[in-house]
Amino acid sequence: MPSLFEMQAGFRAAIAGDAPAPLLGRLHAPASVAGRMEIYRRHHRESFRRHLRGRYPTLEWLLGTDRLLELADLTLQRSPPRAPSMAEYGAALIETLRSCGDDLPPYAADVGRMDWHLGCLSVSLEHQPMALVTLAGIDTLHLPRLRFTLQPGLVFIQSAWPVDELLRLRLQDILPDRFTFEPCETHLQLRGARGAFSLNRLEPDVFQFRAGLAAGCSLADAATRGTQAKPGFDLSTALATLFAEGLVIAHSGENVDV
Amino acid sequence: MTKPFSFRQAGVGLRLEHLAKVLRDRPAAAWFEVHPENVLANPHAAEMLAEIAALYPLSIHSVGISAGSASGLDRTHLARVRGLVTRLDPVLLSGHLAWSTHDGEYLNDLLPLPYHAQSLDVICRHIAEIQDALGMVFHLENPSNYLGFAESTMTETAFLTEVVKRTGCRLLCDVSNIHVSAHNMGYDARRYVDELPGEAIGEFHLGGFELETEPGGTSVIIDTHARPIATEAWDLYAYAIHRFGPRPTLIEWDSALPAMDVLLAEAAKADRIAEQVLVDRHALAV
Repeated sequence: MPSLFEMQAGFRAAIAGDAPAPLLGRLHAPASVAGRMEIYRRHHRESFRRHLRGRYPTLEWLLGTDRLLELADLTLQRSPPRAPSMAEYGAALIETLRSCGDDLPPYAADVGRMDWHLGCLSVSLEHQPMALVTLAGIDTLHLPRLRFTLQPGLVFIQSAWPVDELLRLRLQDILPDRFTFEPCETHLQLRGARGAFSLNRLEPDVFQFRAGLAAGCSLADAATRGTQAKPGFDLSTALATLFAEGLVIAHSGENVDV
Repeated sequence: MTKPFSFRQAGVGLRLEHLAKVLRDRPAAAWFEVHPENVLANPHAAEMLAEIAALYPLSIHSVGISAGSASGLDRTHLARVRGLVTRLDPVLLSGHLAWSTHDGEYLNDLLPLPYHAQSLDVICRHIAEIQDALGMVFHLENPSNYLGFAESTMTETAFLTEVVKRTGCRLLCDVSNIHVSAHNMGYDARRYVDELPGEAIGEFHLGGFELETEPGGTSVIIDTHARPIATEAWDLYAYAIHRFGPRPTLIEWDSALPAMDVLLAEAAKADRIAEQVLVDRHALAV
């Protein structure tokens, strides 16, 4: 008799894609055992397909349902879920999109990234923002080393395509007869909380500054990123706007020795 | 603090789609059951659920705890469920006689177990660990079956009875699952009910299912939780109430989710049936 672990390995293989034959002889039912096994195989496939359709609505709108389902099946095969919450599963589809690059529009992976992040941040929470005046008591010598914690529902995406236009078309349910979609370096800020989201284009320098802070850079390093993107980067204005939009929820680093 | 919990009234499954509406409308539900896996990665839902927990008794019903998995419990998940238990202060805790993970992979289904000494050891060890970690009595739910294992050496009811004896857990008797399994596996549903250790039953579940025709002309019932409770399940529920007396009863509906009013109407129907059975039983006794 196989161990329980071996039996479950066989069952897993039977429902997740491989041939169920080795297991069937050890199962019984008052009908076709293979047919009953197909119930589990179907549920496994369909539940993930349904989930990934829900997580990638713009991509489905763009590629069509059949193509998205093919990609979903491929993703499930290559990167099966490793967490119990379905909500945590599906980011791997972006990698599948990248690996299928030649068969897909060149902007498909970026549309996928946008869909995935919008789904994540729309269920996040917005925290009490910090006021800029809070920084007034900090020694100016320490300011360059400050690090900011930004709102959790905030993501920055850079794309070679204006993928936000596709999202807007989908949300308005507009299918134009002719749509010109040309490459265009786009810097997007996605923000969401409690079931809602917004999407804004940023200037490259502001984008690099904010994305740097979000990645954990110090204020000085984030400012350098802004200046590299655009030599005339205005740190004072960028900082004031960041706080005015309520994006900062905490700061640290003022106690680090200089 | 323990919330007042009137188990004489049936509760309903609370899904993400209904959270905001429940907070806004405060429907006259006796209690709700939630799946922790639906909210653990959803801070907004967890926030709403914490507010709902202050208004209604909640039951935690894990669909991903995988008590029957030979590759062990996911202790990270268990710790997250413990966090939710601390936050929501539930009145009941339950999960399935099933497995859903293998070697770290989540299969998103409640998969069947053979009933033998080895699987008994595995599930008893895991239920003991769950009860220790969460500080609550676990209610183990009988599964809906589509096939069985040649290696099984005991019946499902004997297996459940032994798990109760070894771990001190209680049973969640899913009446619809009994009907589904009895139809699919060709046994008598009432006899299955008769074989259950009634004193260990701490909760009933009722859910919708769908009949499919199989290639050979036979039929199989799929436990979809996407339809109203069928007459056969209501009848079996009345039989179980007659036999064991009333227990907290929950209406499950997971897909093709209707308005909350529809779920509450199903709960009210469960209440009427339970009340009628008790009236009849009392009348027989005098």
